Amino acid sequence: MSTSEQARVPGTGHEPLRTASPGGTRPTSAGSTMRLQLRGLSYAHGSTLLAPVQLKPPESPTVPATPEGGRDKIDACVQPLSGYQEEATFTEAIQCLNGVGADVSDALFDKSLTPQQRLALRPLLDEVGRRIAIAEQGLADFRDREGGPQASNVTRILALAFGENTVGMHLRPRAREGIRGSNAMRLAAATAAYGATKVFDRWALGSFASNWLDEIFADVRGEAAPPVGETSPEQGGPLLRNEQVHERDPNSQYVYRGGSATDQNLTPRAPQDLTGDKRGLSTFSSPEQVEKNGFKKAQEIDVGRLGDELDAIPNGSGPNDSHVSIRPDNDVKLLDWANSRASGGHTYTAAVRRAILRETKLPIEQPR
Amino acid sequence: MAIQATPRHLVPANKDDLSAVEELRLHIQQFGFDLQVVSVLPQLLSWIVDLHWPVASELAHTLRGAGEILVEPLREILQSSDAGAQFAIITVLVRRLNNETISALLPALCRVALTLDEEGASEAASELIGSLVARSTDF
Repeated sequence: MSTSEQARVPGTGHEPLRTASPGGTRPTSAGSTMRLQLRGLSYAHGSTLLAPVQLKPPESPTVPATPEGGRDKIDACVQPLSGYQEEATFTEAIQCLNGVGADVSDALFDKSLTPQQRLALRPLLDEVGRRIAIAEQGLADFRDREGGPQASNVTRILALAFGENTVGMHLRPRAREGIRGSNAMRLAAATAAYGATKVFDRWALGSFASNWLDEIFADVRGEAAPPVGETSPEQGGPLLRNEQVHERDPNSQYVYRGGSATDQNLTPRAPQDLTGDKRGLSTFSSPEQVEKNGFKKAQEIDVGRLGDELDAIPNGSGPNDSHVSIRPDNDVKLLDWANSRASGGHTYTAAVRRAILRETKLPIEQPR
Repeated sequence: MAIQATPRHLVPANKDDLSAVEELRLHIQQFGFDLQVVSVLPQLLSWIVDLHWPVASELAHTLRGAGEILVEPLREILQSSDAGAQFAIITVLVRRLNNETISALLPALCRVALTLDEEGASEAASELIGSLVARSTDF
């Protein structure tokens, strides 16, 4: 897929990504320096004031051409700030403005100029000074809000997903709360960006964003992004949604355990799962009850495949309670099972995993 | 010197002990989140870490008004490696706390959101942060 294809969002009505200039490039890594031109984006306080074409030559016919040339230079200096800004954009603009200011200062002492011409240059110098001050404030704000290159990239993603205002809403409250260390800021920004992936998915831009975000997360955490779903269920890894492990038995009964097929989730907790009539690994025969309890996915377990060591005991408190406990036939074995939760690998946990028919999202889908 | 007994009657004895939750609710109604409740908060939260347990959602509902006294015990859970517990408390309790309490937990929530897991804790934390931002009028 080409860059232009990735940037297009067919049928969504959303604005596609746009590059700032012919020289703009799509980012390929967390440290890339892509510059994005996004309508309405303004990352630093007062930066909109830096937008070009605000200066107009004085209408006085006595003004010589020199100030106009100076204003053109000023506009050229701040032109990059009208789009997406990063630290280098501010510093380059400030350096450029300083150069214009030096030229104007030199011109003020040019003996060939008339007093009238010199007078016409003075507002120009003031304008240079004003714009430098705004750019410096913008740079300070940028540094204050951004946590470094990773956060900068994350902010770009956020900007794409939500627009600048929401980006500011993500970052500014955290700054106020005193989370000012760069690492903390990166965490906050990356967290917010992680939420933004959902928006990207909705925009059919998931593949574009997710790889980039994975790199960012890996950088933020100082580790490689862990592969998700790489291991097989037999190895103790997660089941993919709706991956059916064995055939449905019409004569068997099924119970549902909310959450994933990890060892931890398929092992009782001590001491909470060790006492009471409902002791054991809690499941429900009604997937609706699992969903009602807050789960978005569940493991569908064939009780007929639990083996000889484990029983599935229906013990709901009433007609609306479909609770089913999975437990061994004595409490010493249950304790031993629960004590393995941290380490994993207990035979009962493996038995429960083997009995899983499929993982399904909630509300439950029709079985295949 | 009289030593105050641990108010065991406020803590469920098992995952189905809804009578203890009702007793806790009545106690809070009468005395508020007093020292007795504060002293057993960690134990109470330990009954919310699995949403299959009947007491979990009822307890969460009872504790929603506790406010800042929940911050430390909740932070401990959010900083643990138990993604299942994190998913549970975010789903039924943390997301229903007031903005100030959630804000106090933000750094811990950020860590959860950045730790990829299979239980949905990372997703729940991200959604919570996003909704907090959406609710924010401070812009």
